[in-house]
Amino acid sequence: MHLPAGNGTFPIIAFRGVSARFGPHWANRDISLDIREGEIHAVVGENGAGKTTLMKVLYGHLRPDSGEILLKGGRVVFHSPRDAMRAGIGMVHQQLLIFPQLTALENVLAGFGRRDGRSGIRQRGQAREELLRICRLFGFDLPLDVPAEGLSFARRQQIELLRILYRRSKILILDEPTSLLSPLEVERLLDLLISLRKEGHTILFISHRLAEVFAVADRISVLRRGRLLGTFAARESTAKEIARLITSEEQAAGGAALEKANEGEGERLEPVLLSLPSPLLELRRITVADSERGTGLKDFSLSIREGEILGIGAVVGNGERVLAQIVAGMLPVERGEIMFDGRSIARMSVSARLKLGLRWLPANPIEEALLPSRPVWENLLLGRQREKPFQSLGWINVPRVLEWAGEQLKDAEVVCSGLTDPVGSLSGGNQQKLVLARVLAGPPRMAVLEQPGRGLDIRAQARLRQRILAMNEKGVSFLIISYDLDELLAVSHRIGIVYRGALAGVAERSEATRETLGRWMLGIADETGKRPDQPGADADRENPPSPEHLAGGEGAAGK
Amino acid sequence: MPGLTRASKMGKALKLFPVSLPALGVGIVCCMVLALLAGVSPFALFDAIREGAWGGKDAAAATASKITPLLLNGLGVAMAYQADLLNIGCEGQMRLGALAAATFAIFAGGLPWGVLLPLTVLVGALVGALWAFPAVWLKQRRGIHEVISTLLMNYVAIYLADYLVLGPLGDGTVVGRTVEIPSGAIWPVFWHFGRTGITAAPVVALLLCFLAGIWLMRTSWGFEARAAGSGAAAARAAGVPVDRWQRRMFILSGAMAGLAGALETVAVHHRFYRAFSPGYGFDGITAAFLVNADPGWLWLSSLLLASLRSADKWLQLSLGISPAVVLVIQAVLLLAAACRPDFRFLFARAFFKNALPEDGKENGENVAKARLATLPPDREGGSP
Repeated sequence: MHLPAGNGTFPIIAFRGVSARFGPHWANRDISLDIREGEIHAVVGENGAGKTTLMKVLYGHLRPDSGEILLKGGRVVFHSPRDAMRAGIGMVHQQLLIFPQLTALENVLAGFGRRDGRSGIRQRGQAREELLRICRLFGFDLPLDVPAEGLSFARRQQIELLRILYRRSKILILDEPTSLLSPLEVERLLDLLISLRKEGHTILFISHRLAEVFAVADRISVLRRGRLLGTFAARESTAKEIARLITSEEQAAGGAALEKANEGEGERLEPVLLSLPSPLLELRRITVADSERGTGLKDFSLSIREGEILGIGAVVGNGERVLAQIVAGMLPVERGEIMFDGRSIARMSVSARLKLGLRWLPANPIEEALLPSRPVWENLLLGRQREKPFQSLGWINVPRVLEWAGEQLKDAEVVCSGLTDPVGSLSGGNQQKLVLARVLAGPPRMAVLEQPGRGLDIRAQARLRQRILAMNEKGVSFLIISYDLDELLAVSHRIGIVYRGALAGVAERSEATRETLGRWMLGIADETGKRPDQPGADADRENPPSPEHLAGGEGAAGK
Repeated sequence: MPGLTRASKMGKALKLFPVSLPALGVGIVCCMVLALLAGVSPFALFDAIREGAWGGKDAAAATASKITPLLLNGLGVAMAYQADLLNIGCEGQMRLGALAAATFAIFAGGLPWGVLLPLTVLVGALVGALWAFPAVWLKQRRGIHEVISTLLMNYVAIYLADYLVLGPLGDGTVVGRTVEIPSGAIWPVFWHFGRTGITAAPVVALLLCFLAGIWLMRTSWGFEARAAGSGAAAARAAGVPVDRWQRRMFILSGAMAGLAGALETVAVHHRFYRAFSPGYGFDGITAAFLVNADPGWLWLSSLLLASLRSADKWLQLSLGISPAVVLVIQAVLLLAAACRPDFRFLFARAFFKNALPEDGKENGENVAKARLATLPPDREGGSP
């Protein structure tokens, strides 16, 4: 199944032993991969598997710590994206890099002008003709003279594509281009990729959605925890196999290891569910509109029992953040009801919810939970500044707070030189530990934790799991939201998956397998043919299309 | 804390000092260059400023009375800034506060002094607050930036005050002043010193600054107000009513500016004078930013600015250079203070090349560091 490079096709790009590291964490480890000229090469993997890092290395955003990149057989070193652009490589970023106030035309020309000595106005005229030609060729329906901020996401994405095509880049990198597109727009984009391939472009395509990958890709590379598990021909593998590889713990190098994928790793802590009384938190038919940043929630219902740990998994942007935010009180719900401990809390303020013992660990602590310029002790106090032992008659009892904060820091093993350090000077992992300490101290009745293990090393993650389980035994309930199935499987009683703003399924942990969960996350149907989610419009596209059917190049589009 | 090295002790002491030394150094060097360009020795310039501001009893008394409006306007700007708002409208708030105090005192002159004296000042503060409120209301309801609205409301206030004092509220002359306020509302001179003497006004202003500093650093409310200003999203998630705190702090800010005007009326001019302010409201911005919006240190910047202001005529007399030099010095100091993070960046780059984030790397730690470099440094200490 693992294809050697060649087949008479020339590798236009070759990664040779590329490794990239952030601190102690290897984002890419010894990756060797050939990209053939004129192919659509999909790169898949979980969040944090190193896909984006690898693309950034290729595009000159990042320098690899070791290894090299060969372009058409010759070694190249890109110091910046500009170098990569000059070598004919273009990238469409996940967060689009365009100027919102400029028009499509100006965006394409920005940073490009004057180099060739032509005057601005003439260049504009010629550029307009060229852009119109490209738009006609690829069926872009894009006004060139309207400021980009007024355009839909799909059209703004076309501006980025246009910029690349205008520069005659032959190698295109698309980092999760479909994550914010509607189903119809996705089909158009996939169509475009196929016609680009016909024109002789080489495309590197990152996606979480396997249906899309199988609709267009020639070959698929699977990354897991920074390593390349293998490269597979799309027409010789199935979405199910790839999904299993993506989520499996095994270092599978071929089909043989796939069977063992479900057995998981050795150390699994057993969460004990002490009681099964009434639901503590109940979401009833919640609806929140989609926003710029991702899907909202559609008629979403969920209940968490007292003393339960419920894990929620998702691919980024499927409404999982919205779920946490409405429970914490940071986002209003449009329709529906949230019950906590028998009370309706949907319209309660954040501080009223905190008083009920409902706490929240946001996904980006430095922005959403910390005051970066303030000292460590103030950040630990934040949210408790009106609680009794820390203040009396409105005066903060500083010695008392410092003493308490010192204990918390020691318990949480936060590394810092003192309580008066500004929190912004701590490392990401230490910031995470600090916010966790604040959220879990007390203890709460229920904690909503988004990516609790983020930035923590393996030992700290293990300690966190122990702490969660120990607190759970004393009756604290948890709603844990994570993109890492292992993290969820390690502590949850039940695991649910959110897909496009709806619950794709909930499974008891004893019944949950990575395979099922992974399929739910990627929106792929069950074996029974029963689909995990609702909508009918894009039903066909969701089913893994058979590679033979798509090999001709029509793709999922046109249906 | 045990085990601190001498270097880190010194570092702590420096951290407590609100003005960054590189900024101060750059500011002073610029002033020296300026003096050379004006054709005098830099030391002669500094000496003339000292002489002009503190060289005699009359000069010292005049300087001391100039401190009051600087302290209070500085406090106004600082309170708003602690909640992450910029009140550029102190000048207008102060003028209307001064006019309101004078008018109230004139019309309510029959009240006993024990009532009239405090009430006059409170009316000034109230009008200042009322003039500030629309700006924060517009910001929260309509998304209009408070810098724009307060800046523009200055002009409305200045011309409104001019109209009122040249017309219905004036004394009938073309000077642009009200009649003198009744003696019951006038703050007496309690320290006969120099020609003008010194009233309780600077003492009250100083006390207010220190109280505000303690309130901000040591009470739950002050903590919440600062939290709202140093990370709105995080504060909201911790249950802090961010919008409410911003409103409160902005109203307080306007009240301080109004109070500054009222004190000018009752303690210095004893009437509203159209031209009573050489721009104290704008100097308040400089005063606040020179000490990084820390009310506890406002005395330092106010002292400096009052000295500069009161020495300007002496510069003309002794050195023959334009009094406008003082304005340029102020501007240079403000620019230096405002650029502080960048100076820090500059110095850091020169000395610790490797300590800075590399371009393009987007890992969280570097982003946090880079962001930190653009934030005002923390300095309230609070070690056990």
